Amino acid sequence: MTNGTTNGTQHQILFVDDDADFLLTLRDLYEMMSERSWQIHSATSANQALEILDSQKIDLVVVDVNMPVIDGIQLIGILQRRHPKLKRAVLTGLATPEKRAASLANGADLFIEKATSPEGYKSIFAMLGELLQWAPREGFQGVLRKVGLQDVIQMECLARNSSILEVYNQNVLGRIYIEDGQLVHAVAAEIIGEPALYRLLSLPGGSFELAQFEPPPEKTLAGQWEMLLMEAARVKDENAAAGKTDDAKTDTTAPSKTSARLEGTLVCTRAGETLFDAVGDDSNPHVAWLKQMEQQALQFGEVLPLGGFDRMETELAEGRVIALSRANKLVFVRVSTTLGSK
Amino acid sequence: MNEIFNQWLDSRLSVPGMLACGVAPANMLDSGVGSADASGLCRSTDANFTVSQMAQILRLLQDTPTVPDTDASALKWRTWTFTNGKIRSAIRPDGLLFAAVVLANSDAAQILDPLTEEFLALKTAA
Repeated sequence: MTNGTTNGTQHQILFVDDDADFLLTLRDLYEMMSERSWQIHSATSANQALEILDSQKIDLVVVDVNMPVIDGIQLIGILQRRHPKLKRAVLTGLATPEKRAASLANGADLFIEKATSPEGYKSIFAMLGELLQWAPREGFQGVLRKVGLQDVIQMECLARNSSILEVYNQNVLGRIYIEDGQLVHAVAAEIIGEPALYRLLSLPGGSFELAQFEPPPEKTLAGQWEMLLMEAARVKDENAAAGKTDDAKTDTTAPSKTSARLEGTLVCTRAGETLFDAVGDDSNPHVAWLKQMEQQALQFGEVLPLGGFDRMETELAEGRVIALSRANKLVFVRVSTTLGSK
Repeated sequence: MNEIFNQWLDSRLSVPGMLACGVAPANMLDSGVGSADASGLCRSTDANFTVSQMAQILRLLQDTPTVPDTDASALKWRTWTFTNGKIRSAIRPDGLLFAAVVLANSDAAQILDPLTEEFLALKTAA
């Protein structure tokens, strides 16, 4: 496996980690794997990293999160301001949704969990190689860094765009095809269709890129995108509750006991501006309700250390209403359910 | 009646991942039932999720607005999902409000539905 250079020049990569032994191992491993097309630089602190960056041209910096004095997330933020053209990745031994969100919000292009096996280090090598090849996308990367995968899908669908979302982490590489605002195909490693979509949307971490649309090899998704996203959220919750992780055993099958019908959807900004309205004649009560729900969740968060608010689900006798909090948007989804076999 | 709910809360507190739970009249402010009485039916297993915090949550839950265009009687329960945990609430026809705070991805999070069904079905009189 090699990740070649561009125009014959060596890629300059800086790893920042307070574990000097780990840095030595990475240098030996990746210089060998790249057949010396990568030149690895090392820094054991943020200050040392900044000195190196000021003194020589670096293409990519890979930063550990847990470091003394200035941690990796702070360092990424500093690098975004001081070296905006530098490609930035975070490599951490303890990946959490909070760290991922903070890293991406501070300007990381990639958030990767440290590997525990040789195969894992090969995957990281491949991902960093991909990152080195990425061409800058003016005016677009900044948006992607601050939103989640579901947000991008929602935006693409609401805008009736055609695009391909390339999603990847250490364990899986997948693609989600959006054509004229509809989800038409998903593939994740060897699986396709809804199970693939649910698997990709259940990934605990990773990265994604919006690529130019090409017609999919086949169409494996049908139905409204709102329903598919909601079902993906449900599958993710169920898998999380069952303690399932992202591997081949993850149950990505949809339910079979009930059938569901989408009754209404509304998307608004936190300020209350309606972006998408499919709830009926008057959307004002729904917007007001969403804002009340978020306010109440904030109050809960002030009382209890539960972390960020994700959603509120109201289970009804014959249906469910979900209030989602996503980036700067609030989403209302109402579904009616009826018993029966699928 | 309190004894029945006390015993039930005690018995359900040991489920792994259960951080705190409690029962209170849904109209405790209107009925003059204050925080002391409300926290009397609250339980906690974690220093970060105290009985008084649970009582506060129960009071906040009273203000949860009804979903637009929905009959309040159609409500079964509500679940707030946060990064690290969930809050489940349900109201019985007799006006008693139940709330549980559970750790994300725990056994308690997995049995929230049957637990809530139990609360809704508890008999308060012989």
